[in-house]
Amino acid sequence: MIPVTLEHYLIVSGLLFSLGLAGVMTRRNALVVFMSLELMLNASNLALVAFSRFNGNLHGQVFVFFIITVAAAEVAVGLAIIVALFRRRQTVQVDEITSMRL
Amino acid sequence: MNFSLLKLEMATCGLAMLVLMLEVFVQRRDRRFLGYVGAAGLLAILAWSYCPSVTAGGFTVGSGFGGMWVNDLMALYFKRLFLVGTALVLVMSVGFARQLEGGVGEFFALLMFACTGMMLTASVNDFLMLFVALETVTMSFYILVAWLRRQQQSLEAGVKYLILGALASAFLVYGITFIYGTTGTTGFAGVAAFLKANAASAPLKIGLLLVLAGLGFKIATVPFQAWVPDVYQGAPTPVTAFLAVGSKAAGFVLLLRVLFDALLPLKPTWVLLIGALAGLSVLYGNLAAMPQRNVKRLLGYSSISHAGFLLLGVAAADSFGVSAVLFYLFAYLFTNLCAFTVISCLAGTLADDERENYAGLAQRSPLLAAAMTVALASLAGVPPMAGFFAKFLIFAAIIGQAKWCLVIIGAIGVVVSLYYYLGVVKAMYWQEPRETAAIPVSWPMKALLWVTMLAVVGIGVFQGALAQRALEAAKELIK
Repeated sequence: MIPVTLEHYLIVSGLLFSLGLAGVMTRRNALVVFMSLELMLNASNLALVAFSRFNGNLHGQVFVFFIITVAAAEVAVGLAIIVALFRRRQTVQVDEITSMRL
Repeated sequence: MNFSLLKLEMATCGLAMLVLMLEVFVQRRDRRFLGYVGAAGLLAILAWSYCPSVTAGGFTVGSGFGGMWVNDLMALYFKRLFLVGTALVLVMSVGFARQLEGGVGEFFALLMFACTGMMLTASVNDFLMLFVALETVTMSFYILVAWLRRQQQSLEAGVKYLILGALASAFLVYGITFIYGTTGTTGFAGVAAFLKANAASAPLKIGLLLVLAGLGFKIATVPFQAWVPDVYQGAPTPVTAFLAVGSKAAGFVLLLRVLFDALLPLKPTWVLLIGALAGLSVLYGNLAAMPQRNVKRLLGYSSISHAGFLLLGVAAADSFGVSAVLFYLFAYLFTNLCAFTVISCLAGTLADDERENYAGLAQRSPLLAAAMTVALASLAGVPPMAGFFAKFLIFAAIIGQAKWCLVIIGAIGVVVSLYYYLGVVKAMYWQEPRETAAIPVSWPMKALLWVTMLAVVGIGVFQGALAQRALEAAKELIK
């Protein structure tokens, strides 16, 4: 059995981050975009915990608590805004919200 | 755990909660006057910040919380800037309250919570603290930008700000993760010590770039400027004003702290990077503003170009350049608030903020036209306005560093900006109005217009005291 090293965690974290970024760039549904953004934050969480373990101090673990809290607040506010948009426009497709142009 | 270091922030946060609670006991039609309670409270906190116990040798100057927090002259300078700005925005919001639906008390409270977050950013000395302070500001702004939830533009602006803001936060956090992973610490002092002892590895460099990208979003520099025009146009006018003066200043104080505290050993590298971003922002902001017809959108592009001018001062990277940035932010605060007060006075009368609607404004309301002219002249850098002396300091700083390429780009930017600022002035004074009815302006808004106009001219004429304070604050950052 191969030992799990820091690199393994970082590769998974990098994959999560790229997956999230690709979702934000390519998807058109605001909810999916928002979900992808949360994925990017979770990539940081994973890497922070792994770094914390291999650096031998707890700063990273503490940081994760703050990220989870902030992400929760962000979801609360973000979903409220997206719901309000849906009520007004009956759509959550980001390429349809184009009322402001030059 | 010396909580007295935090007393200005705690007072501001407490005031916001007080206003939130008072709303319950006040009649619905009187609730907008809570904005004056908030503004008066913030000015009281501002006066308190001049008390000897807060400043000279008192126990509140210093650093604490394991080095995460630093309260120096620069922090105090920015805290006062945020307090003044928020108080003026609160007064503006009272005049705008008829357009705001729902609980105005919550609107005022959120402005003050954002102000608390900004005051936290002024004292940040640790990447964890940076993230929390920045999110406090951003989260409040998500709600404020989308406040007019029955208006399509405000909602769209809210969604765009939310998605791009959250993306910037994700980059910032991922960057901090790599900085922590390679240096083993999140404190600015620890990172600086690590960089002094070791060469920066590739993951650390990526981390630092991602953090700078996250901050670049806040200060609205190219290439992170995509959100600015739409959000400035769609958000409620007092919120746009607050974004322009508060959020940008918060981004700049963080940038200064990160660059001069944590990244000082890498100075030769980041000076080039910041210089390039500054040049691009000045060019992009000014050129893209030229064809704009919507005045709020135009001020959005102008805000990108001003981010560029401010970055020119950062790129000078000495105490003189930083003091120019600090001075510029104060001049920019009064100038922008003057312009946005005019726009919010017109919000009830004009159909929208298109430039055609400003035609003949001088005949309909000489005061509004005069205030707008003063503000635009200051933004363009016409003497004797505050904006002129601010730009003068920036140019003096980069000429002192002999960065001639940036000087030329800056000069092009100034000349181009005259075109579109004067376009609005021309419409106000030399075009015939579509309607001739006089535009009523309530007396608090008149007072606000006079205060900001006098401040713009006053800072421009008597610039010595403020420039001196900015230089003292900058010298404390660059030892």
